[in-house]
Amino acid sequence: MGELLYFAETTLLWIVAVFFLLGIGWRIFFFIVSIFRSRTFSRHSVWHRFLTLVGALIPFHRAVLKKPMYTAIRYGFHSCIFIVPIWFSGHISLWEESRFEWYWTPLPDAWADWMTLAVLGACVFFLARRIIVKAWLNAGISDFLLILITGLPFLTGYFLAHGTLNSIPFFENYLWYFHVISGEIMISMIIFLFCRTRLKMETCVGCAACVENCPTETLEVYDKDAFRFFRYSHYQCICCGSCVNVCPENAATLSHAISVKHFYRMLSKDVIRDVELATCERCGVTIAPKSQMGKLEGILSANDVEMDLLNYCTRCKKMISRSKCGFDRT
Amino acid sequence: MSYVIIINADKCSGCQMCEVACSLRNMKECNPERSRIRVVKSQLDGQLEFIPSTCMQCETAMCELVCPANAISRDPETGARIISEKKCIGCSSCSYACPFGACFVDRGLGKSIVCSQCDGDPTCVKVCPSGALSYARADQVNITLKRGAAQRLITAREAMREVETSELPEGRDNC
Repeated sequence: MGELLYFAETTLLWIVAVFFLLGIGWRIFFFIVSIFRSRTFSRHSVWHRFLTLVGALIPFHRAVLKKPMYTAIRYGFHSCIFIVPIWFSGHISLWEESRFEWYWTPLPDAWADWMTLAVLGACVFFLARRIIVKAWLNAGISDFLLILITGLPFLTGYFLAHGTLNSIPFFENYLWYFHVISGEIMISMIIFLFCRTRLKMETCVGCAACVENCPTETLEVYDKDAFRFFRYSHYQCICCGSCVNVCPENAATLSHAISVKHFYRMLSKDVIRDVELATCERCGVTIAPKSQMGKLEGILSANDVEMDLLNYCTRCKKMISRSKCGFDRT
Repeated sequence: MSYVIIINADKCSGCQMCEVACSLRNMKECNPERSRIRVVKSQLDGQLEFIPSTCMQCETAMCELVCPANAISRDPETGARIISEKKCIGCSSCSYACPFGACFVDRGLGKSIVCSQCDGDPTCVKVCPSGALSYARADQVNITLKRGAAQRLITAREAMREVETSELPEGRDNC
């Protein structure tokens, strides 16, 4: 037992570090490859992509206005996750003792305490949210696992720093190893962590505004036999939230997913949504999703506007409007 | 005061100069696919017909009603319908609602575009060789159309008179 734990503390740490760095390199490599493979590569400049990513990191865009409280919790949670392990004084002293002898200014201990508590509180909030609105979010087992794996190192770390559980002999001896192993699991999980766009079936009308605004062409759309398909490639997603920003129906949501399958299926794309297309009444060409047409019809009839040309394609509309209203005839 | 582009489809010869000029001015590219004025060719009863079509500046604009991002408004100077490129999300609702199919989502930009009347000096009107397009104030449109109709009536009468006065070939009914 003791040898095994010693292994977790020394050799496994190195294995995890190498695995993490290789995995991140693999992710970046296939991110670049898949971006250059996409068909509409020339649409957005590299500068625009970069700006979108920076804009997503700063919490002042339209998605914030849609859910201000949730976004505040999300940003606080993610910044704490990054700051606490790196700038915690106990971790820095370990770096100082190691062969690298690195040192940087640590965070005050009280701050680190409160930030850890904030992370744990946010974890509880996310878990409760997943359980309460499970059907709406379509959450699977991996979503719960993700929150547990993220929360465990912080929970054990908090107890370890305060010695709360030292009265129990088992925890006094082994809590340190719990902390190390859960931290290693969390680090190795990061490379299997993907962002996933979900389009809610009930509200999405299939207008493809998300596709038009995606800076990395992660979302793709193609029409085939009176159906419109939305495809999603997980390696390209930079989790910028453009799709959530623009969605006029608030149907697009972004969430994390841990998936080993996605990690080795580098260049494949998943169909995440299909909608039926309406056809032109005159020539039979597919024009627009039926649900979007229904929505437009609702808006127009609410405003008492005549809309007998709604179900025609652009070309037929032009011909009919000439012969019908005769705006250029005597 | 708002202005409109009056289209006289009877005069259109189908040369598509307006499409080329429009895309060259607004998109910096000679690509009729990205032009804001389109000429549709239709064949009815074996007779070819060309229909130029662009934004008609509707009083109750359907595009403005259906836009989910409130990106469509009127230019205060020319009265032309403009789509804010910053607000537009590219959902193509306006193109489905437009009764003329005038606005469309440009696949290069990812935004919807519509005739902006080139800030009060439409290029398509300038280049049209057959005089099918003209630019007039919205309250003068009726007068312009009436004048055109009267002109056509006069020419038709003159033609009739010429037919009546000229000698008809023998062996044919005078009709």
